[in-house]
Amino acid sequence: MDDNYRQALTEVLEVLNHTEKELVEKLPQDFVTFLLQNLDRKYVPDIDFSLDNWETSLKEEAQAILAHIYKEFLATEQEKSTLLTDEELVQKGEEMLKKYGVEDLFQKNETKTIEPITENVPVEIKSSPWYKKIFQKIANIFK
Amino acid sequence: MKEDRLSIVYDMLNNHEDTKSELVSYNIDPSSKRQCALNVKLSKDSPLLHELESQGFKAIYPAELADEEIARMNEDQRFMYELNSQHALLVDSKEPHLSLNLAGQIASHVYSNSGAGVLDGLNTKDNTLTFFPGCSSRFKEGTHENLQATLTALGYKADLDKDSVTVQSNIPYPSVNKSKFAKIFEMAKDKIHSVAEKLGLHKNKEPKVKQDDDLAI
Repeated sequence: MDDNYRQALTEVLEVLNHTEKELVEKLPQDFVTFLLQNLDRKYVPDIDFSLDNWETSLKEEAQAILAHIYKEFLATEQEKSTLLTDEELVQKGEEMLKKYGVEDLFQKNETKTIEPITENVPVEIKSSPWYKKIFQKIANIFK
Repeated sequence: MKEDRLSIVYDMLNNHEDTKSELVSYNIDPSSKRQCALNVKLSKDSPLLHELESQGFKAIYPAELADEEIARMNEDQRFMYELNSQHALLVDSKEPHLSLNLAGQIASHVYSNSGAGVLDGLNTKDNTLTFFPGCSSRFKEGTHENLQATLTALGYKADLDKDSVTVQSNIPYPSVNKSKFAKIFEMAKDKIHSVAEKLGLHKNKEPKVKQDDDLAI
């Protein structure tokens, strides 16, 4: 692992060290072990947490790891369903096209012929109107 | 630590006959923007150590590893271990030290010989910080107790749990909440895939964890 990634892990730890305990406890042990054993302990991150936008001072790799942490460990199932990267959005779109065959819809210009009605056939209406049904029920009481 | 108190240490380091002792770095407290601790190369048998302690400065050394861990080291690792063990974190015991940031720096220094970092857990309700050292099994027994005693001696309220020490402070500590993670996700979501691939962080895949032999002291 190159130094840039090790330093990014150090920045991630620094952020986690300021993170609420109940969130930190959601991180799996193997991930924490990975983090603690691979960071650059000589690197001193310069993050001023008193600033509103301190996250912009992080290395790009550190931002990506924190984004990964949020998506995989911190977000609820409901939140996860809305957290799609651009790549995943494209992938999901392709899956839907495949599943529902929308591509076929535009590719096949099949025209369905409708059979013309050649003769009028009388149809018996079996159901009676509602007021007749009520009247029939009242009549049945007095039978 | 006040600036005038710090100047005592600087003067002593510059003028003492123990020329092997030297300032390595200093730690800044983010809330006060002032130096709050000094990392000094200072042998445990140096007469300067006793002079500094008599002036009210506490020298905090990295915790020792268990004998079997030291026995497993090769020559280079042992050299680095002994070198690191001679670095003291100097803190002024005459000042009230209630900053969680300084407590975190002390914990990080105490556990620095394990070859792994320290994960802190912040509880914003009671403003406490819990230290979870990586590879804590590598230390000698009593390490957590010693850290608790050190923090208590400096004026902190420190509690001991099985594998962790929790310290409390009245000075608010800047906290990171879930909404900040969501914001960072929106900023960096398109870089996740390549970085996770590089680090082996993909789902259903164990991250690449170093072996004990690779741990750098």
